[in-house]
Amino acid sequence: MSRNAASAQQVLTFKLAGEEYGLGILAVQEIRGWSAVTTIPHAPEWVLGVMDLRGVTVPVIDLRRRFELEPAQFGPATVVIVIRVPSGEQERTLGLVVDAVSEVYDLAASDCHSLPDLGSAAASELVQGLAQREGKTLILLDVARLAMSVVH
Amino acid sequence: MAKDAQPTVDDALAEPRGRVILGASCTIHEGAAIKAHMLEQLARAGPYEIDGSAVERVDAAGVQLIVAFALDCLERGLEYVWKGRSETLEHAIELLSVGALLESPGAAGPPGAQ
Amino acid sequence: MTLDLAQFHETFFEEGFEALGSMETALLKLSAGEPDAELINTIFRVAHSIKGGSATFGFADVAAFTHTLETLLDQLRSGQRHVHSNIVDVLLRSVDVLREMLSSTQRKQPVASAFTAGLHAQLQAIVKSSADGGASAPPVAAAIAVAAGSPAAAGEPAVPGWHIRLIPGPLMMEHGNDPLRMLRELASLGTLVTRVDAGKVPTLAELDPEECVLSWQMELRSDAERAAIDQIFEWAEGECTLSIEPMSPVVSTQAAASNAAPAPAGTATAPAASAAAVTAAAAAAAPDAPVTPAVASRAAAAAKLPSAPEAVRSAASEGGSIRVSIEKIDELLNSVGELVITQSVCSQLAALLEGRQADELRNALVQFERHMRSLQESVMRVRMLPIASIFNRFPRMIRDLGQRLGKKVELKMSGDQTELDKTVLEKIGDPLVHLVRNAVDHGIEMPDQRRAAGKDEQGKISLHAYHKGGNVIVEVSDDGAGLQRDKILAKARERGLVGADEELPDDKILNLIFAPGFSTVEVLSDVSGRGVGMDVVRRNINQIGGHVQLHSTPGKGSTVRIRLPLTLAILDGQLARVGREIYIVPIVSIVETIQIKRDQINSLAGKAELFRLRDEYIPIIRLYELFGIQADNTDLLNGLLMIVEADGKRVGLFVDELLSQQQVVIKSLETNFRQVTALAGATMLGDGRVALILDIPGVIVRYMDQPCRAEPAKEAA
Repeated sequence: MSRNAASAQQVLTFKLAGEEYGLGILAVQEIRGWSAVTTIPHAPEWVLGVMDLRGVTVPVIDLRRRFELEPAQFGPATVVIVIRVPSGEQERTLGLVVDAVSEVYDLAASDCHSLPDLGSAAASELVQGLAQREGKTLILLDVARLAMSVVH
Repeated sequence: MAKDAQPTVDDALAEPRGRVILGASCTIHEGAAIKAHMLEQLARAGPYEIDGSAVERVDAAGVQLIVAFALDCLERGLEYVWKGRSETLEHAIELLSVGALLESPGAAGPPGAQ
Repeated sequence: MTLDLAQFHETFFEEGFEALGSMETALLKLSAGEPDAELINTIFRVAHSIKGGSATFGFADVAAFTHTLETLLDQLRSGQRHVHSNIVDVLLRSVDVLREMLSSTQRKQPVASAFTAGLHAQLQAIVKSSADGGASAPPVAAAIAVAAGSPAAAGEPAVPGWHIRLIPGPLMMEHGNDPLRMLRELASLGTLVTRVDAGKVPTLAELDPEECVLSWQMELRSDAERAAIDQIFEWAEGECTLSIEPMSPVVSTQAAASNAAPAPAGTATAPAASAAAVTAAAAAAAPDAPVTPAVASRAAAAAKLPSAPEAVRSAASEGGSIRVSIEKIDELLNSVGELVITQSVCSQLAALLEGRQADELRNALVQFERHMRSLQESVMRVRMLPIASIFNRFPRMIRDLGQRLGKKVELKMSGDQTELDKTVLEKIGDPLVHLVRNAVDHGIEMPDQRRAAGKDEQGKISLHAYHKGGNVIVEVSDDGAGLQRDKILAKARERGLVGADEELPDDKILNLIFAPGFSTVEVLSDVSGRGVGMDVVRRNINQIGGHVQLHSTPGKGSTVRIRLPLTLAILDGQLARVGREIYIVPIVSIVETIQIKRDQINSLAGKAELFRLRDEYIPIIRLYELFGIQADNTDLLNGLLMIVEADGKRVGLFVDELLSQQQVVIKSLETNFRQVTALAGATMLGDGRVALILDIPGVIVRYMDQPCRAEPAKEAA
């Protein structure tokens, strides 16, 4: 998979520990408030548990912990972004807990930059690239890889 | 069958004059009354309309009356059209295998009939 | 045997038509000239499964045709013959012919036509020709001769049935004997094809509404006994003219054709000839019958009857079955799930209200909840069907196979009420048929061989379905010869699957029979065919997330164990609370639940805790420790011990509290997450929370694997 593939697209951006992240809007199914989840024993610590979404059992990921950031307290402002990602022959549905949702941007291919080689540092395998927008740097998530890391 | 219909059928069907309306019960017990009702309607000018949508109970006697009515029409070259058949009636017609006899020559078959 | 095979015909036809569709698609792809092995395999499997089904149901013509077709396909598959475009043409026409044959059979009309026979002959000619210079055509040709002869030679009776003629007398209806009721009851015995004679119907004015002037001639396809039919007419005795004659069995195509217009044999009162005349007249008059007084006579009017009688399907199967896509049902299920949550929100809100009206509202909501629950259950049940619908085809199949092969076989079945998701059920039909055929054909020995081996002459095949650890297990066992490892290995070497000097452990050898195209039987028979079998079985089962295991003991028999997932199954569960979490324990796994007494606890080497249940020591699993969560009770004396059993092992699960028992829908965790040892899935509770369903074997495995078990309970030390 090409790392600088982020071409013209719309991204939804969200805040995570003071940084701004983005993910392709086509992957977003809905945005929900945080509600308690059922803990799954022996799951990675960044998997908070599962919730019921209209009859479907959906794992909920704490993105802060996924990126090995300082965990935050969940409150009324905490938001779950529900995404749908093709994975193999089927689609996976995941909930991502983020600090807050911010905006939707149109990104041109020229806005996007590939990530320098960081080795295995900073969970960079989950980052598709970077984008410049209104003087800010957006970190573009690779949702497919994120989904893969949840499934395996 | 619809394709056999005569060109004037549509116009003629616009205002059916004789109307046979079958009640909820269409059995041997109501046989005489149904027969009288049918004969009364047949005495009026055609084309006719027959409505079996309200039928809840039916037996062979009831179906036989309908068959006789239909054959009368067929024999005399009179047009009639089914306004409806309840499921019960439809099932009885199917079981007794009289569906083909009840195909109105002047109209597209009733729902359910081929 | 009073099984009504007819009820499975529809499924066979439905599946058959679908399969032909995929065969056609595959053939069309094949036209390009590139012989794609997988495509040919697909086509071959379709032909094979139609052959198998039609042989089972006694549709000899279809079976014979597909056998020839299959032989040709086998030649293509093995590379004996190349895929020429003219062969593809013939194959495509075979699809058409098969479609025609299936739909004729479905309408119970004679199958053979000039076209069918012509194509069949053509296929046979191709098969026999060695145009491609194929190395060894002879054995194949021999096989045809055997197969073409066998279905007819076996002289299997077609679905038996009755010719019935009913001419009501003048007083019959008046005395309360309604012909409609009689026909309805006849239809409930099987498939009823009825013809009416309306020739005696007078004009409406002349009609006596209480006298029945219609009469009927019927063909009842059913295995119902004469007595059952007599009973229907019991009350009308003496008030009608009645004849009931058994249908002559349809032995071959030719016989079927001449039987097409069955005349009621030897009836005293029935004017058979005139009835036939009416039908014949109908054929001539119907299409163009002018709507004029020209159709003057009643008889002629009655002749408007269709030449092919309307088939009145049995009331039982007609009872309202429609095909609905699974997606629609799932949508429905999800909507209901949402409704349940909304309803419980309403109940919670209503609990906060006060006053008389609030009481009424709460009462209404209790009703609402009850209705919701039954709605939810009904919707869930729509997807679930007992495995009996598949098991039921086996008694007849085994009897027929046994007869054909000269083997004595007894079939035992259990657990046929085990429910499975419809999609799963649909997928396991063919594999199970293959396995059962294999068991009869290859597993069970001939009676003299069994006697020589000191066994009962009659072989046993058992089909067993049960729930286990969140799965449904279906086992097909036989007490036959077992698999011969040396033969398998030799065959595998011959086929180049295993190197000449390569040695394999036993389990690997058994696994070889799952290799594509592998078969240990040298003689081709129309029973289990040519090695379509284990590879397809395994592939089909794997496709639905299942697992196939094979055990075999030489001389003792083989068992194939299929583990099927419950993608969406209902489970009877016991809700158990541990701290804030609620877990669901499958009730089938629970032995009993016990309040622990101090003297029943033993610790072992300070590592494990054991509970003494009568004469047995049972390991105690503290669920909160196993799952790393907080519990209310860490003192064994305060909580409850659920004794559960799996794989013959018993353990005690230590929980805080037992809650209600309820049926839950199992949702897979794998859909969006992954498989988790010790969990069979998740379900949604009434309050919208997700509760995890325990997989007891998994719990035990996880407990055993714990590198360092928890500290022994202090109170036990």
